[in-house]
Amino acid sequence: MHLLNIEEIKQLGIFRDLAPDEWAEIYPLLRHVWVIEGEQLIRQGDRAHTFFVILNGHFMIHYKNGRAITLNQKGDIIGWSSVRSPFQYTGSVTALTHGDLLAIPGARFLEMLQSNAPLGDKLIKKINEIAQSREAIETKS
Amino acid sequence: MKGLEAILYHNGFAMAAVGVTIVFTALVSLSVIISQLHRVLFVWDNRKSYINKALRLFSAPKPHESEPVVKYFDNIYESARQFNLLIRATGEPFSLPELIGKAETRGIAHAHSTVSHLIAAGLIAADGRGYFRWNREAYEQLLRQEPK
Repeated sequence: MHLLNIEEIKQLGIFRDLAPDEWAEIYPLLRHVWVIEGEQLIRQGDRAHTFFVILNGHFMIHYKNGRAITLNQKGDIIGWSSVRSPFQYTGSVTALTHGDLLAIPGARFLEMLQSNAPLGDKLIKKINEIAQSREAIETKS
Repeated sequence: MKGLEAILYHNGFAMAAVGVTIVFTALVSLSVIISQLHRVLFVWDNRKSYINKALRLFSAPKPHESEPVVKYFDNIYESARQFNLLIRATGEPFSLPELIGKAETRGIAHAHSTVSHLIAAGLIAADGRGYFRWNREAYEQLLRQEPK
């Protein structure tokens, strides 16, 4: 995490509204990970164990029915299934370019959201909005 | 010489102990291998990712925060022509992962990052329903800008 600008991370959409004590709780969970072009980050159907926040790079979320969306905005999230039942990834994610992300272990993230109601409310609301928009793409006919 | 005496004389108990040990060791080894088989299969299923990670260990160092993300787009004009032909053959709207798969099959280098670049340049556009379209206007405009 030492390579990252903490103030910049605090301004990412998902963390922007957090109070200082909430940020202090979430910060130790963050890991900085790198991916290379063509690397599969997530596979549809696997147990959802990690939640990701994009810092750099272009990523493709794709489904078994051939549909896909791409994400390249700093702060976009990937792997919302890690904090929503049945904790199974609903799509696959492949890096279109080299990139780096913040990774949060899903189980610990969920535990934190459940133990801190105000923080849970803030984050789950944002995650649900994103999940609904992704599910809409996946199920469109 | 009969019975236990004969067994003792010919090291029968020692041989039996060695035999039991060999069989037991083999069974333990087999059970360890079977218990870890799921890990081997997981690695096999994700071999591409593991190979990439292994290659990364011996390739360029991790990019630092201040460094730009590496790009491979040598020639967007050539890439655009290649994908224009590929998409004409595929039909529209097309599935992005399928397009990348076909590009790789046809030997187009860095298909993923090329597609990323074409999306960023507005040549490949999402149709809002999970599929993508080729933007012919943007393609023709790009070719008009191509240096002679």
